[in-house]
Amino acid sequence: MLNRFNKVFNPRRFAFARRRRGYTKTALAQKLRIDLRTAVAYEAGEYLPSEEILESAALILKFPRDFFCGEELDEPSPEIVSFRALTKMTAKQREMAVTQGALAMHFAKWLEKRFELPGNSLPDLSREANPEIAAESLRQAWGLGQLPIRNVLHLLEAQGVRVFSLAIDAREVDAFSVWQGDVPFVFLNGNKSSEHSRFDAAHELGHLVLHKHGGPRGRKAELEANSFASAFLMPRGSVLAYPPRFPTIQELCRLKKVWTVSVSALAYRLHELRLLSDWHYRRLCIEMSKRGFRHNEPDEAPRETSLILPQLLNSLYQDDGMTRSAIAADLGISLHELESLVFSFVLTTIDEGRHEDNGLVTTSPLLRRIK
Amino acid sequence: MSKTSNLRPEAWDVNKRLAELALKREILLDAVRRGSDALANCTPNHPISYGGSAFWAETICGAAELLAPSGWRRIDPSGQPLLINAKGNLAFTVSTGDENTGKLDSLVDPYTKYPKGPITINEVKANSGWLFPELEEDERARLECLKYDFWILLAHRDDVSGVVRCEFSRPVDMDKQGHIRDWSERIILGEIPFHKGGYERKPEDGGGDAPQKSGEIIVQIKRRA
Repeated sequence: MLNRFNKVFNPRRFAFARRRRGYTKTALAQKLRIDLRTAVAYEAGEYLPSEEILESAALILKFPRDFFCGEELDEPSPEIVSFRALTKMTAKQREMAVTQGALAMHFAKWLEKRFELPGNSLPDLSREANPEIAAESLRQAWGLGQLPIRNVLHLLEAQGVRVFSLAIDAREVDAFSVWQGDVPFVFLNGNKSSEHSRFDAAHELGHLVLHKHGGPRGRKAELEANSFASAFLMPRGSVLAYPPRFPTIQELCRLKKVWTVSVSALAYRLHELRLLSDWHYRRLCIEMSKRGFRHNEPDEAPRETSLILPQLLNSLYQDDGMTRSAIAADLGISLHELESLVFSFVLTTIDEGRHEDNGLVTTSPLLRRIK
Repeated sequence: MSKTSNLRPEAWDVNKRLAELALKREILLDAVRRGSDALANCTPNHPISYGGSAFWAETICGAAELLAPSGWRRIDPSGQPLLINAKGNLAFTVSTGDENTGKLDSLVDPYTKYPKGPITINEVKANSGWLFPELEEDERARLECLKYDFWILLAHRDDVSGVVRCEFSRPVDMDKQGHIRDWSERIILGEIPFHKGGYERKPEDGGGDAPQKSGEIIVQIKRRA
């Protein structure tokens, strides 16, 4: 089906863009001032939208008009995506998250063509029934022993996980992960504290190694991933070496910095390892709720940023003169969309021939120029 | 002491020379990695000196396991842990070196961190071809160590840069306290990151980023042709 520019209209791309923005067919039809039957027919490939409709849809859905003419995008199947709070999510939020995942995979494939990215070194631990032992095994395999992890995001990237930002402003959508062939992907919500984000990343790592082949779903899988994350970030031997002197919030705030975890995650782990009695744990939970620590982490750690994405973007700019706008155009998406995939993790921005620094962080001295 | 004139820093030369000794750079570095992994499993609940012992012991064990297919054997003449080649004419042990270990820009050669015992002293002196009247009553031990050329896999953990620097070197002299300080040949093996993402952190360190580089990860990414 050709439009007047002889580009093939892809009805699936049209539907994809609608789902990405969280519109129902009815809502989009209203915005476009067309009847629902016409909107359905566009997505079914029965009618070809006029150029005016495509232009309007592009504006409403914030995609370049040519986005509707590309090849079909690979989408992670909702059945294999591990959503942490699936029951609390609306269908609209799920669609928005899955379609953002598809765009990240599209971007990752684009990067793979240009760079040799770290290969996947995640073992398959799906036969390990105990998440605590699985976390311990992975620590040994990666040479982490009992040490606190300096930067979870860097660790995942170095082990071959593609980490992208999840730009959905909803508390229900913490993070999710998915395997695309042999490539593991993790998506993290950038609106959370550093400590919560690290836990989310470890939780998703748990899904990737424990539930690669499906396995348990729902609450059981989530509890397993939580246990894995807790043990991965706070290894037993390390926590037992620093028992709290007093069961107080102040003491936990002091101790949490050893593992860069939230006060609530540390309290849970201390209780699990019997370093806090049931009574003390309950009192601490009440105190944390009163102080709002469940959502506002006290004395927050610096946010972790990507190790790899700035290197890639710098290389594309310095060697090929490709700005982010040019990359977005090559991908057939908007600059805003591209930024939403990386915004949490790349703080130095390069665009339109300018090199900007937002002043929040300096580039790590360990980032090396790509050869 | 001045620097040894026989310093081998270039990769091609290192690989060539190690091949002559029936060794490989990667195997020696892998052995050190095993030591580093053992160190990572230590917590403050372990005795404070255990970390260094675990590092040393697991590096020796790692070298023995990795070199066994090439005919190397683990022996303990008079309690000193050695790796000896199939011909029995070359042996090495593992030792911790000072901050000059594996460094090319240092003005002085490395010292071993700790003074050595009588067996190592014998071996070092046998390497140098000296005779030691004071040791002649222990004729058996002296003759034993004259059978093989003695080398040391020297490793130094640099907390600031977060790496373990390594070299494979042939000792020929020591100071009065028994620290080896002079080498007839030094093969620079390079460095490995220790802990690969983990780092030592104590409650009293407080928040924020740690000043030391330990646990920082470096990923080198190449463009596709």
